[in-house]
Amino acid sequence: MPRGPRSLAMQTMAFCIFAMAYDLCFGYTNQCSLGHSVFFGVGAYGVVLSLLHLQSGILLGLLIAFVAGMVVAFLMGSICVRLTEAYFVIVTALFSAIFHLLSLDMTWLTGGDDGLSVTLPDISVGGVRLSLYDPMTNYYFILVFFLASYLLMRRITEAPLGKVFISIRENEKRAAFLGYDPFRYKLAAFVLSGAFTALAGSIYALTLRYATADLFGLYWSIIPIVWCLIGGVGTLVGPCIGVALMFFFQYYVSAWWTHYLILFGVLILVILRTSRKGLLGYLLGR
Amino acid sequence: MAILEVREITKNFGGLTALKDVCLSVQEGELRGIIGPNGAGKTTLFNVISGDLKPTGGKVYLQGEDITGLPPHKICKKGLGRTFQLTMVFPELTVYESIWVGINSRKEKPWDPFRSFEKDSDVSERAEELCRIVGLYEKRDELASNLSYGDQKALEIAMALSTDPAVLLLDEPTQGVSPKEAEGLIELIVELSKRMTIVLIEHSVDVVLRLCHKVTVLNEGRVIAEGSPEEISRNKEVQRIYLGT
Repeated sequence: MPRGPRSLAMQTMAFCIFAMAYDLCFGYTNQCSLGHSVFFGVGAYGVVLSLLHLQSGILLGLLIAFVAGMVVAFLMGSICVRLTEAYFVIVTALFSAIFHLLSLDMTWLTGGDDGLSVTLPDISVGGVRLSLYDPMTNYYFILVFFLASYLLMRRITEAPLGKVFISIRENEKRAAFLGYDPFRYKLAAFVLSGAFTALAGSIYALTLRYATADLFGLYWSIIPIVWCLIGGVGTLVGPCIGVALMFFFQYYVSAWWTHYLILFGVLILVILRTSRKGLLGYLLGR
Repeated sequence: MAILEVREITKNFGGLTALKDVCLSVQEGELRGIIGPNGAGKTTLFNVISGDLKPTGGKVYLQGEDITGLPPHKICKKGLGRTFQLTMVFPELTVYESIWVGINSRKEKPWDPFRSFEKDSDVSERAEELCRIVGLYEKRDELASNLSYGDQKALEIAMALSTDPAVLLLDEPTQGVSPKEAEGLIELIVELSKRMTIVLIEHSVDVVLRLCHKVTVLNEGRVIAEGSPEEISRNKEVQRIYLGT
């Protein structure tokens, strides 16, 4: 596989995990979080700091990042998920801003704007040593995590839990009168979403081989909403389509016209005007 | 012993008293009707019993247990099911899925991601049975939002039944549906009342007097009369409220 498309595919897969994770929260339980950059950053720093300070190895580092995302999402969710609609959006955005400022400020831990670089140790699985500096190994490594995340999230959304999430999204009050505690289930979706977002962040940091305070920035909170909206909310495949489309614009259309974002914005408007459920919703609805 | 006991419930909204010292005692197996003019506090009473509103004063007992002020999901688990005056279905779930979700809430681990949606036979059998009971078996794969209003009312009842309640509160189940559909719903309620305790709010006094064992009349937040349909239809005050004489 040629270099350009391969590295593009690798980033796409990392962001697809992010997009699907975000939709667990946004599409499945109707919680429009603006705080997911927190989990993305926590995941990225989780793996980088584990490698730098704990010499943990990559697999354990990813696990630490995943669990860290889960814990942070649980703490943040315990506060935010009680709030509804606009209040939820604003408070999650505040968390994102707080984490961003702290990470810029605490340079001793995060390296601030410059970030922290990391050398990736070999991974040894069953006596085989793999180096992520080998491009094809790196590619398959990410592919495995992408597929595993997709299958796990599909399992969750197609299992009873996913149906309960959707019923809460559709009518929270009715779901409560069927015996479900809406807060608990919305928190569960928030925590699962945060954990997989952290995994995406950690994989992204591994492809960059560094983490920076920018990963906590508001950009990373807004971009998943865009992915989900254009691709199709309430599905797992839709957000991935959103990621692919965004990359297409970022890498191919931008070469042709620098102000490609204007085109992209128009495209978003056209898609949402045509179908509130994004591209996938449009295709399935025909 | 009464299966549902409401003791001196008072509910104020700011300065407005919606319910004042309302008492209601429903025996097991009873089909109780609640009637009253608009704004009498019928739905407010249901909201207080089912946990949607916390009462200002008074107590609610279900099967002898104090459930006053518990959140709706806990009261549901204690054995209370309800429907809503304006239908509250899950627009983007099918009939079958909506009922399935309700049955699932009674499972030991309703969240278990490793249990399959399709292959849980005791849930799916019960879901199909409920589809048949309310007459929606042929439409079980329709989205709830595509159903007629009457069918949505039937689905509401099926969803309330899905949690296997001991007491079922029905809030105007025939309101706004065609006469033919209403007839079907009334037959269904009669059928259900043979197996469970039902409290029915109904706008049509005729229906209540025809079906119910006992009728409670609310007006301006107070119970003004209670008794058998015959007693109620002879009651002077009830006649005055309804006929304005």
